[in-house]
Amino acid sequence: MDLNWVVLSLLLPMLVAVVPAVGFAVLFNVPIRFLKYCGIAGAMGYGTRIIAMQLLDFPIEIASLAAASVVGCLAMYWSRKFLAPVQVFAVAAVIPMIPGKFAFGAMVGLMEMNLHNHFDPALMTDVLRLGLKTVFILMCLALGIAAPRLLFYRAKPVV
Amino acid sequence: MDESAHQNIVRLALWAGQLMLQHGADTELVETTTHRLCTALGADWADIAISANNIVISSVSQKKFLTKVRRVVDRGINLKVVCDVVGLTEMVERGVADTYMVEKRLRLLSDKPRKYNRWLVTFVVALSCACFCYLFGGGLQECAVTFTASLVGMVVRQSFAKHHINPLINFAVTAFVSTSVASLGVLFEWGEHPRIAMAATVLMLVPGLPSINAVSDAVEGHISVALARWTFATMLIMATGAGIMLAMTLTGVWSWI
Repeated sequence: MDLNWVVLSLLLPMLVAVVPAVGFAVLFNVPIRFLKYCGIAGAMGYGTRIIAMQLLDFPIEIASLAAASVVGCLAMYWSRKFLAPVQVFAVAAVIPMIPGKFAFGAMVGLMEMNLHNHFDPALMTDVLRLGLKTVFILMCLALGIAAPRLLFYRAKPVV
Repeated sequence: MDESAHQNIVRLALWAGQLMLQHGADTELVETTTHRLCTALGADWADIAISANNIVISSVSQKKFLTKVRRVVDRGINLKVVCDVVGLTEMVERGVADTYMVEKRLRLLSDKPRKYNRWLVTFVVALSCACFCYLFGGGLQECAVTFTASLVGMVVRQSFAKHHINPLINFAVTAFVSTSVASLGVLFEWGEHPRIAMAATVLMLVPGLPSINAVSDAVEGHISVALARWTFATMLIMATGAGIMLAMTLTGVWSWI
């Protein structure tokens, strides 16, 4: 792990991931005073995922779970502090990690099968792989956001 | 507390719950907040049942039951409304707000929800898609193509949403338009990997909040609502996929990833 890697493959993507986190927070109409927290959580989550995937060689699902747990913990802390729902901070922050490319790839593959009537094993494998990845990554992200609430606030509301 | 006061309380709590569900809150949050609002305003107890598109409150006050239902129509994601309703509940619990104030605030939230400027949202989302393109390994030219295509797509999406066109049709048309624009990059061979731009552009149409809400509802035990939300998210993805397919058939640019 040299300095070059840290700057180019960790810090730069983290910085770039701030833009979609804040951008989608604006799309979801998050109040303006919370936008910076969405950005920070987005950067931390994305950085965690890069570290887990590239340094520790975790599969993408486990890395997403770890990243979303970091986001969930941060969101829980701010949620207690500002008395706002966890969602407001967490959902926009995980947007850069949502498997959109996989989801649309699976759908387009399914339609291609139907349209051209060709069911060759390569296409079927592709659709299955993309669809499964989508479902499992999404579940890991949602579980990660909910994890602090499920573990520490079992009987009382967070906010 | 007399009966008309109880009726008023249930009406306000139901209204608050309806607003939260309409603007993208998860079921657990709606349940706890509505219950807290109802009891803080003076009812003895409140039970809340939430299904795919309605909310029921059954409240008790001085051994008298009162049950009301309200329909929930999706009004688009707006987390500020959710935030404000939770804040209002907190104020009522601390004794800072009364029924009159709750009514005034809820009226304001449902009649004139504050939103960011339309063009600001368009610009910021297009910029986000350009950043996705960079994260997928695209160069400057691909990012520029992505930015343009998502800008055009967002304009279409916003104007459709303004006229209350069904979200499925909206997503299909938006996906068609933005994929068509992005596939120009492939046709004219701008940049090294122009196909990345096509994949990054439609990412603004991923139903992120509905799908995360669906899974977290399922985890917390609200299975029926979770199924409904998951179905809706899948429908949105399918509509987007149909738009992408149509555009690819038209322009002849195949193999998307």
